Amino acid sequence: MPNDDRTVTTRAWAAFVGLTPLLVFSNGLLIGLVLGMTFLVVHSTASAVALLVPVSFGRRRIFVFSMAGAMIAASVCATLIRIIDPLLFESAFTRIFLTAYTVPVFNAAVVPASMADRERAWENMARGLGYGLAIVLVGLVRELMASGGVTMVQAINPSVLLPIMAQPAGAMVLLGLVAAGFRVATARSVNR
Amino acid sequence: MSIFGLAFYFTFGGNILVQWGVFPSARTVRVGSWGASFAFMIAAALAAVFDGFIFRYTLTPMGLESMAPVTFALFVFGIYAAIRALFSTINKPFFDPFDERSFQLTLVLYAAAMTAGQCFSSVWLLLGGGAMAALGYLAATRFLDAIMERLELEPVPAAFRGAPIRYISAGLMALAFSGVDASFFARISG
Repeated sequence: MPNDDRTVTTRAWAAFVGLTPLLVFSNGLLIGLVLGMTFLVVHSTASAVALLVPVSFGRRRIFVFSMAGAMIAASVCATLIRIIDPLLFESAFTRIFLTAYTVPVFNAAVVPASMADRERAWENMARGLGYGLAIVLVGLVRELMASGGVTMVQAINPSVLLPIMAQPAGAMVLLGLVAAGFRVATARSVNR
Repeated sequence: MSIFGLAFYFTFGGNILVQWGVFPSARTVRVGSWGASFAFMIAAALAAVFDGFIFRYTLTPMGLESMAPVTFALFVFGIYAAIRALFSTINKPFFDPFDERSFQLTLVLYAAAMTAGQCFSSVWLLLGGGAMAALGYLAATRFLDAIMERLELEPVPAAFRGAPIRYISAGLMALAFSGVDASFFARISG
């Protein structure tokens, strides 16, 4: 079914573009893990609340409840990070708060239109896990390319390999190259 | 900081497209329309003032900085409800908020508010910072659109057409912006 495949690919690209702020901010393994975990919790909360609130509440109210739940989840995650590592919170709180305002979270908070969509809504949880893993993976790759090594300690890494990879410009170039690679791989699999 | 310094900083160094990666999707704001651009700048200025003041004078003294996303969401929902009530009073149809453009707009407003709130504390600088962050975003969006239009005339390899070349162009633009920022802004702001 080529048309269905195209729709799935288009949706995946839209989500990827919506996730770009978090991918740009994820410039190391530690921050990638923090952002990935927070995103997973926020995304799952938004999609779960959208399913649990009765449909009789109406679309707008369900959206408001889901987003409020997602914001509270982001706040709880930020509080936990603050308790565990105050220095990490101080350096990354704007990025942590941003997780609640990304387009995939907004999309997850919209109540599914039909009953069939509601039954398939558990896929949102799996989608959130995939996005979270992508954020962690991008952080890992960028830290590896920027410093030539990976560490879980928040400290200045003395070794330097490709410092541009730690900057937003490097993230966007890397994402462009990954997108081109993904496109080549997809075209090859379709041709087979 | 002078108004020129503010505009310069937010157009280049603090630009939310090149620093935060907030890509425009399906024309978040109609760049060609002066009215839409002006309304967008006012919205960003108000969002920056609200977010900056609540964060600095209410949440931080109480040790509740983690609640910042919740307060901003309440602000956005409150503004939306007020505008909706206004439209229903004058019997005019209101737009559907469940589309990609509305979501992207909220993200941009939040990014503008956070960027201005991190840099300034006074009400005038927050107002100016929010408006200039929106202006910088519009300018960067326009630059990126112009680059993409120009690239349509070039023999770009098939694998790089569309999103990949858009990302790479934005990355190179971010590199140029950070260069301009480091070369000039540091001197202007002293």
